[in-house]
Amino acid sequence: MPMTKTPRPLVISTRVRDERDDHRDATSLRRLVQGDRDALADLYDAHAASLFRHGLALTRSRSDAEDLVQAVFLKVATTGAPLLAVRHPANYLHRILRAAWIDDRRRPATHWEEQADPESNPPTSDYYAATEDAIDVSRMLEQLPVVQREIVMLHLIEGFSFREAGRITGASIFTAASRYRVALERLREMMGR
Amino acid sequence: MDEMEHSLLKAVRPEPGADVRERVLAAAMPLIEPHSSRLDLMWFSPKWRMAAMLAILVLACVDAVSEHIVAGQPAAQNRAAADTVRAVEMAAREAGLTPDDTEALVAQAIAATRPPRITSLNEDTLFQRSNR
Repeated sequence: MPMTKTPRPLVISTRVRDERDDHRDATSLRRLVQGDRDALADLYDAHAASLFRHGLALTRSRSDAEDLVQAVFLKVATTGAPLLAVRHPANYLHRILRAAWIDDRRRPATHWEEQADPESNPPTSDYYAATEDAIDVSRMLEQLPVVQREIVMLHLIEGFSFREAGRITGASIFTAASRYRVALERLREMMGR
Repeated sequence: MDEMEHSLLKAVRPEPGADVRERVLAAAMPLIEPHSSRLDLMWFSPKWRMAAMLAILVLACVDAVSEHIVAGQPAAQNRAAADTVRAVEMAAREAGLTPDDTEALVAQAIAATRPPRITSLNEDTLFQRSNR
């Protein structure tokens, strides 16, 4: 398949979240509660890409992932004063995204059921990857169960600790670590490494 | 970090389309309303919550300590009163008083060792007490 996209700069190391991010985001949430609309744009710029990748790991569909991102920011815009009590905004936003995904799945006869058939899914590997080799890895990633894809995305790509990723996904730290380990083992088997 | 993790890091960096930002913000921004009442700011502020929890903890500690002190006071008073009554009774017997006189003396000693009542006293009672 010919590559039409230009290669993007590759990030080799996992970005570790720190307290400065939480402080910056908490400030944005405070501004948002006070009615500052630019604060929502700041939050979007800081978290939309990460949320989108999480959504993509859950849905394997760009449009559905974008819808989930929109659902997150609609929820944030309407929550109001309880946002002041949020201690870790990044975790909070990802939890909203996951809750929105679960709500969508619970709806009867939605497009999620159609996606249960892998053949009906449009390939998203091209969106994941910047190089041919990376496309292979991305295709293999897509074949993992959703919870394993999700933990790989949250821990390895987004830099959440197992504890944070566990809180986001509603699992214990041990379950999160176990899912990650199993996911990597399966990927290694697929790649024959 | 092994080779597989490096491969994943290189591969998985998708981002939402450029139009998504406008779409999301256009949908969400009109829903933003200022919710900054002072009560909300206090109630949801982590600092205020921590301060409130500390205040409750301090009050609970003070309450527990004061209960302990108050509970200890009557026991000490009762012990002191019992000692006094016993001493008066013994002194009366050694002095050779009749049992009736001893009983009356002990009753007076008990009345004298009782803690003062909280109820207000009228002027006559105060006058009588001062003349005892």
